[in-house]
Amino acid sequence: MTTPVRSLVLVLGFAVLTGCLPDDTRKAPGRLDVTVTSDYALSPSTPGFDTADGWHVEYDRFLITLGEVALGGDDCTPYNDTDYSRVLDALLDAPQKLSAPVALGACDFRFRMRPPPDDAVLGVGVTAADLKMLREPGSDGFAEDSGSAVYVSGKAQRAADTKRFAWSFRLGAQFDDCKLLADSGVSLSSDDQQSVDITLRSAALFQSVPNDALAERRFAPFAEADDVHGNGDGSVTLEELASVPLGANATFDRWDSFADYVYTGLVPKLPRFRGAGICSIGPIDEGGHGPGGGKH
Amino acid sequence: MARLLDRPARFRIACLVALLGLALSRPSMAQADVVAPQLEHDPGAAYPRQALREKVYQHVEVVLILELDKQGNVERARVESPRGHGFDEAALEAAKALRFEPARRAGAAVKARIRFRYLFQPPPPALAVRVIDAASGKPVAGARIRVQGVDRGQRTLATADDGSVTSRDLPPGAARVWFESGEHDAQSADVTLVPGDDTEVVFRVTKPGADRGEAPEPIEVVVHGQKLAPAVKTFSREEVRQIPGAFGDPFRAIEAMPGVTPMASGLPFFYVRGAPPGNVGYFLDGVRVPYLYHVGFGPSVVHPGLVERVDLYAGGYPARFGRFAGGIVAAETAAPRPELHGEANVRLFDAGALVEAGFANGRGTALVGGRYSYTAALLSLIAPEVELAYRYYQARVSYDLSPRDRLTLFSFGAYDLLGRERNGDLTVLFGTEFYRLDLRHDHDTGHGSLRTAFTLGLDRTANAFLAGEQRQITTQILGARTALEHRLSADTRFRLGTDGTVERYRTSPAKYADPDSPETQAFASNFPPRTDLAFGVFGDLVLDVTPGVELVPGARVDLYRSDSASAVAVDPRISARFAVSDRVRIIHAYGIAHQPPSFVLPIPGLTPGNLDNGLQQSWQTSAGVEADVADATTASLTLFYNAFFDMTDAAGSRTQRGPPTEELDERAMGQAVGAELFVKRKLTKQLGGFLSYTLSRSTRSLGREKFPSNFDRTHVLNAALGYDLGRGWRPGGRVVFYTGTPLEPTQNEDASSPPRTTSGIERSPAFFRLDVRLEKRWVLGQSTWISFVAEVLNATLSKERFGDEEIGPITIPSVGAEMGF
Repeated sequence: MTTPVRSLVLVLGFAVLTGCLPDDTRKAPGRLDVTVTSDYALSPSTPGFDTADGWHVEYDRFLITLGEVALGGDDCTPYNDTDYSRVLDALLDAPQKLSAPVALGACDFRFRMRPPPDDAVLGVGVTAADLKMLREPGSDGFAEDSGSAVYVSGKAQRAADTKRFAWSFRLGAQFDDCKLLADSGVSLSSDDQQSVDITLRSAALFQSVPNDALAERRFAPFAEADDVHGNGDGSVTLEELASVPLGANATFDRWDSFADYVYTGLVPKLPRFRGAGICSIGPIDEGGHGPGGGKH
Repeated sequence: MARLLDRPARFRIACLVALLGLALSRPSMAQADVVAPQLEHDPGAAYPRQALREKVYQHVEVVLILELDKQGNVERARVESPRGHGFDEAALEAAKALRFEPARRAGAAVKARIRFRYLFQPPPPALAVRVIDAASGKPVAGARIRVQGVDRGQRTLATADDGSVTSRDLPPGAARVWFESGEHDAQSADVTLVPGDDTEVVFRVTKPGADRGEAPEPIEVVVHGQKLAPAVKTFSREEVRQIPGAFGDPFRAIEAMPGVTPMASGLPFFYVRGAPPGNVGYFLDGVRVPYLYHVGFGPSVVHPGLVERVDLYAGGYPARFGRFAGGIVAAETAAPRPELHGEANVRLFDAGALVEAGFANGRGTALVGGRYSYTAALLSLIAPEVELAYRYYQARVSYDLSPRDRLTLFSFGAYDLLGRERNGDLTVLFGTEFYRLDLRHDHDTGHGSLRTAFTLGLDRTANAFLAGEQRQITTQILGARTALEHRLSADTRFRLGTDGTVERYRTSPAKYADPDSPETQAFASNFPPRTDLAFGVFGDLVLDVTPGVELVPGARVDLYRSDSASAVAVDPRISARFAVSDRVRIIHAYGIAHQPPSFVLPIPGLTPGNLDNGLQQSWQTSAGVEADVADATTASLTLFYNAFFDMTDAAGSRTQRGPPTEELDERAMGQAVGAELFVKRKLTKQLGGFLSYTLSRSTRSLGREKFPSNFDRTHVLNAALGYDLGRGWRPGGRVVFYTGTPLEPTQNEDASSPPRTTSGIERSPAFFRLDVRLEKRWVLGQSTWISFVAEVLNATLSKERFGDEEIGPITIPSVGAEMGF
């Protein structure tokens, strides 16, 4: 080989020796379809639901932002990133896609509920005006200068009595380590196809006690907030709810007021992993999984 | 008629006719009596200075028409065919002194008119060599000096008692000068010999095993006429080796230069006079390099031994640099050397080497260099599932086709991988690689130079969650460029060139991404598969308007095309250097620069394809003073103002109310104003160091809001000192200090409060760190040395705070051995 040719080989050959980035040779993952289904449409033929104290509640609008689904854990290898939020119309009577994570292994399941970012995906029936409304910053006793994670508006009727309400719940929550059975999150094997549904429990805001199994639906405290503690104008506000005393019951020791109980105790109960699953609920932890606060 | 003339008249007529016939028939007989003038005295004609200034080095013949008097003196002279460049004038002037033996006709002196030729030959260049003993400062007599000129001929000289020797029989062009001695370490220098010019080479030589145990000091070569462009800051290779915290990497020295604002300590991403990292261009011998450092904190991607110097153009750069709206970092490789030489080092995390040798009797050179990391093996001991690897290579072959033509094939590339292995599967968290193959031809035109080059390139990035999943994005590059430099006259040079690139962007197919994910959709929108074309023409003039005043006006025009979108950019540039005195200069630099949309950080393959929204634009202005303060010490003070339009600076631009701006096609306006102070004493001196301080304010405007850039730092200070203790010991330290960046707005802000202004902004705490370096060098033999180097970036273990988050300490230790031969 002549010297120039040898030199040329030298120059070109080094490119090979440096190496090339490896192709993706990982095992095929499993796929998970995560959906959200509202139980509002499962009610009797007339829209809404009845409470144990004789009120009939109907929602005009029920928007909730869920998302940032993440599969993780030491035995889990996520293959994609589904770190986005979706604004959902909770009055829709069909399952709605939340996200499509792909992973392999035994995975912890996490999702979040919080005010939508500007690039939130809009679910069926949700408009850009809805997104703008949810992103409008506001303050209440629980969050300052924040958008709304949940917005509900509607009315409750009992006989001739009608109460209207329109509430924005601005505090977000993180749902970690969601499980249905005692010790299983989501386990995905190669080429597996599974689904997880998150139930939107539309009546959760009116639970009489935190324990789901023992709770009844009651609207009386809300009506009392307007009639007794408020201005009696037929509109129940979050400020009026704050004036309603909680019962002298250890059940409510965690909360300072009825508004606190609804805002921080019941709102996080709206989404339920696989209908009856349990998640570790806490404030949003931007760094990853947050400390367990409450549980379903 | 004849009957009218009597016999005597007829005879007289016949004689007249005969005489007339004789007169007419005997001209040779008349010239045979004329003797041409003979040259008696010719003092000769000097090669005209005008021709030397205009770099005309040719054999030139000038023909004069001389009119001589009867004494043989030149009465009048004129040029038969003018040649210009001062040759005509020189010949006419010299002709006045000519003396001739006068022309004669029939023995009598007569006037004459003759042709006279002057043949001008360019004067040989002069090479003066001085040899000084570095220890005593005394001249070295009898030193053997070997010189090889462009004719490949070898000449051996010896210094006189004063340690100097001069040679005037060398051909003009490139030459190599060797100092060889049995008592001192050998050295060599490359010079360019110019006809009529004096070139001086000074060797400061040391004896092997001298008390100070020091390696030979860098050679001082005084080459007349060489100077840097205005408004550029530079570090030489030898200086960079001495900067603590730079790990001998020439590109790491950039972060110590004025005008450079770091994003975070140790990271190779910085703002230059307000321009974001994606707007700063990096070049090696005119070839664009996509990134500088391995995996963020690692060494640079080019072997330090290959880099001759690194220049930072913070603004107002020459017209040959284009398509970047921020600063330019331009590195030049060392010239090929045919003698065997190299260097190597072994450190805690990697090993590198560089070797170069000649072939074909010195007409060709071959160089190979590289670095290989064994971090993967080390990490396997503490974090088995993490894989971290980096490596790079350079290879170069040069061949002199003729004394004026050189062909060079230069290839370089780098590879980085950060991955996680689990259950036998490797997930690439972040991987990058790039390769370049550059073929260039350099031609010495005699009045300048012409370079023609072609480049092939490949850039690739892989990321576990790029576009929502692990994907690769690849850019295939084809480029061509020409650059002509030509001296029009003694005071004027022009530079003209073209450069074009074709870049083909491709991404690996999406397999797992959620199609609804905004990140996936944004990636597809911002980085579509496409082919981008760019073609530029540039030109400038280097004018020595008057002695001490240099003006460089120029411009470039670039045409961009990306799929169906196209744009044209016109970038005027001008810079000037005014020598107020021998030591003080005023520098001005102004220019407009355009750039297609850029990614937040310089990452291979990640170039947005949003040309529909137009080009980024910057207006760059600076004015300053620089002075030679003392021996080997310079100081400069520069004021600057930059304005940015249609910036894609997602990292630096955000509203005060909303979330961080992540839309790459969102455009912002910006400006940066400030002052830079730079004092430098050559780090290769016994006591060397520098002080670099920048006072600045960088703002952005988005919509109706104006706010400080996310990475605005009011004060940035770098100060370094190195001292040669003798016996090969050299410690050094560098202080890095900068004030904090604006804090992000908290959720506690009152929604009804008015929009923020640029004042009254809370900032993160200031940051301080100390880098240290210690070197012990042993000299072995004539040109071999070994060093032990211990170096720590952030020896103070300082942590840095960004908003509510504290990171670090990011401390990088390096211990290793180096050698050179």
